[in-house]
Amino acid sequence: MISYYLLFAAALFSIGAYGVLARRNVLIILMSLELMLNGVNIVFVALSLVPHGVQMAPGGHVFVLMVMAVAAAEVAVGLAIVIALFRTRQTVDINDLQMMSG
Amino acid sequence: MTFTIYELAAMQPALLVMIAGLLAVGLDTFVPSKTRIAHAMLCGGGVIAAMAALGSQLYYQRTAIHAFGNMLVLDDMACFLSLAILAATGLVLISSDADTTRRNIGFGEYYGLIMIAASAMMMLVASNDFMTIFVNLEVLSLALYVLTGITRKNPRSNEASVKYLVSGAFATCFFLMGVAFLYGATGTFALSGIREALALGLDSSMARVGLGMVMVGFAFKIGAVPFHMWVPDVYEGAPTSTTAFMSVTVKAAGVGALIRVLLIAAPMRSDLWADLLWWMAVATMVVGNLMALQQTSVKRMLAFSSVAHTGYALVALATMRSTDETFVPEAAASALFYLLTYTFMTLGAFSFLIYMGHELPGKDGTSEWQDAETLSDLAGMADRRPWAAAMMGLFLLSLGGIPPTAGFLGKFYLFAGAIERGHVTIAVIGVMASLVSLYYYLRVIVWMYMKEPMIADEKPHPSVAVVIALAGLATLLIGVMPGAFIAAAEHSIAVLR
Amino acid sequence: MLATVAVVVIAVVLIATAVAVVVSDNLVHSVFWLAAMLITTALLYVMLEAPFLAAIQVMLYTGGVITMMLFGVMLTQRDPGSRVPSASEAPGWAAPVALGLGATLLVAIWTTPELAALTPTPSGDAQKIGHMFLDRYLIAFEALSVLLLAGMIGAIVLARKGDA
Repeated sequence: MISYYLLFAAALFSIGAYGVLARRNVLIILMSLELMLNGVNIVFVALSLVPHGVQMAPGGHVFVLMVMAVAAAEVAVGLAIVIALFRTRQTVDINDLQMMSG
Repeated sequence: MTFTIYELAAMQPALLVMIAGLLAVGLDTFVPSKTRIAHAMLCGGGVIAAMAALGSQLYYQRTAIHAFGNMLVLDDMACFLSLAILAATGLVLISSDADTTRRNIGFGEYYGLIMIAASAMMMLVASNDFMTIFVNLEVLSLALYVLTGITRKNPRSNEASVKYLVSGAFATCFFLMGVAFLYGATGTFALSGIREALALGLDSSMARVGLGMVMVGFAFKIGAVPFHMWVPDVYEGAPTSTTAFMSVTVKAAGVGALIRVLLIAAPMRSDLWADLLWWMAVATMVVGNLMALQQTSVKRMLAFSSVAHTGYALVALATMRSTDETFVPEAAASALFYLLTYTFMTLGAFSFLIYMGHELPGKDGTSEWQDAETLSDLAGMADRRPWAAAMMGLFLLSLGGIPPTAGFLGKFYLFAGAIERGHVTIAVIGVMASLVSLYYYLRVIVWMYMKEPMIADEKPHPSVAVVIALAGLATLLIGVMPGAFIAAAEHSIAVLR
Repeated sequence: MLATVAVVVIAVVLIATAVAVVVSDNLVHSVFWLAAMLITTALLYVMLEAPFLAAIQVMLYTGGVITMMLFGVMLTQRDPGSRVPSASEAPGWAAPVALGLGATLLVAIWTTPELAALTPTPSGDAQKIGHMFLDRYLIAFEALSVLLLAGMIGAIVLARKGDA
């Protein structure tokens, strides 16, 4: 049963990874990262059901809350960076970010 | 579970640094916006206090402190790397005086973020549990995303911070998926618990994939090939003092945490990770050096060279499993020593670029600061700034691995150890790679000493000169008498449990 | 039986909304698909017997993250709803890499047989989680507060108006 939940999570993770690699708009990339983190969270919740000897306290649930807080902070900082970028460059497209190369 | 006040001692050094940083943020309310001496004194005081705390731990306490249910452990390796991180932080605090005043960066937030990042790194190298590793890795990453983009009117800086954010967050996802899989396979986040579970034969494919993804996450953060794509752009676009800070400290903290993960969580399963690290180390050395060869910008060249140096440090980890299948954890000591030598020479080289900064006339009569970046910016500087140029020469020779500098000893110790454990191929590749690197390091020296100056109005900043002198002194000191430092590195690994 | 049907429906919606986020050419649509995906994830948490996490998921993500995302979209598009470069302009290696990643995870999950037999059991109520936060994982909790502070300072520094 749990394997199916894990498969959904793996699918979510890969779809998110595809979004990060394929899309050029920074906001969509940030959203794809949220997909990946959600996949990770589902894995944590599902795997905290695995019994390991003694009845474990659900450490996985605690980790999920940590990931959620980190994701929120990352989105806040990410959007601040994107806004600063938009102010100077008038674009949020990764393809336009080619000032440095070599 | 009950905690005693005594356990706070494990995080006291990091706590001192953090408190100084938070006070620096608050200080903006009380002091005039152009006064920076208060911020600098406060943060410098924090760094010195933390160093004193670490020193007393090393000389009076001596035994490791396991605190908060073994989630943090202040042992000799944590102290060793924390001291290297603090030394780098202290030097960056002095040299960022130039960047903050030239570019009009707010002192409070700049110093505050540097100190928060430094304290997170100190906690990271002392983390003994994937939960603390994760949170501290994120604290330092968030602070560095912001520091990279802190000159927010500068389009290159914006671009660099976007790229850093995207690749860093991507790496975090991989790291987390790896931790989740390891948790599923072993039922714990504690590194020692994972070792016990693996010893019981719980090495399902889930645990293997988990360990692999954790290593991919670390490889991204320290910039190892093939996960290095972000390094050159981020290092080039960030303000140079930030580049100097992150190029040395993130590497020390990231490699340190990786050593702890490998040695505490999976020491007897080196068959799972040694080959992966071997290929990663070889690819990192080769690609980093070949890309550095093609650069005309010195700053970008140093960025690729820092990729290459990550590869050298990884050689030590990859060869921990000797060719006759025995596991030699002591090998990690050469990585620690290498990180220490790398700290001072790289910091010195980047500081020289800040030192030689000049003003570019902007559009509407204003002027904009430009750090020395290209070879032509440095041309002929040996005549006009003989001392600084000589120091830069010293840093470059050390990066290239020429005796009697620290860099030579670091590489010698690394590659000699690798050969001792039977890994001749990787040692030969490493030596060849450093021979190639000499070409692009010497090219900078040739431009400084043999060409006519092309920039007439460089405005050296006095406080950066102090940093260059101190870093040069350290590079020479470690090069001439390495004994104590190598002994400290070896002791750090020997008592790692 | 009813539970199985519910899980299948949730899974289909979850994957469909996730794909929609990634392939949509309209930023605002993407944000709303993301909101739908996040709420579906909360339902999945309910099916996994983790109601507390489901509640937090709805409050934090749809309440906080989606709102921030919408602000981000509005502040960076001169014409909200305008088309963005579509997924069809993606580099050719993106899909194979993502597929390879998915296949690796799939193999790891599928070759761990003991997972198939497990069913969700009630675990992780708020009280237990709270105890763990302030006991076993105290230090991580404290470090997390530093993270939020660093994030706050950073966001303000970068996004404010004015000089420097």
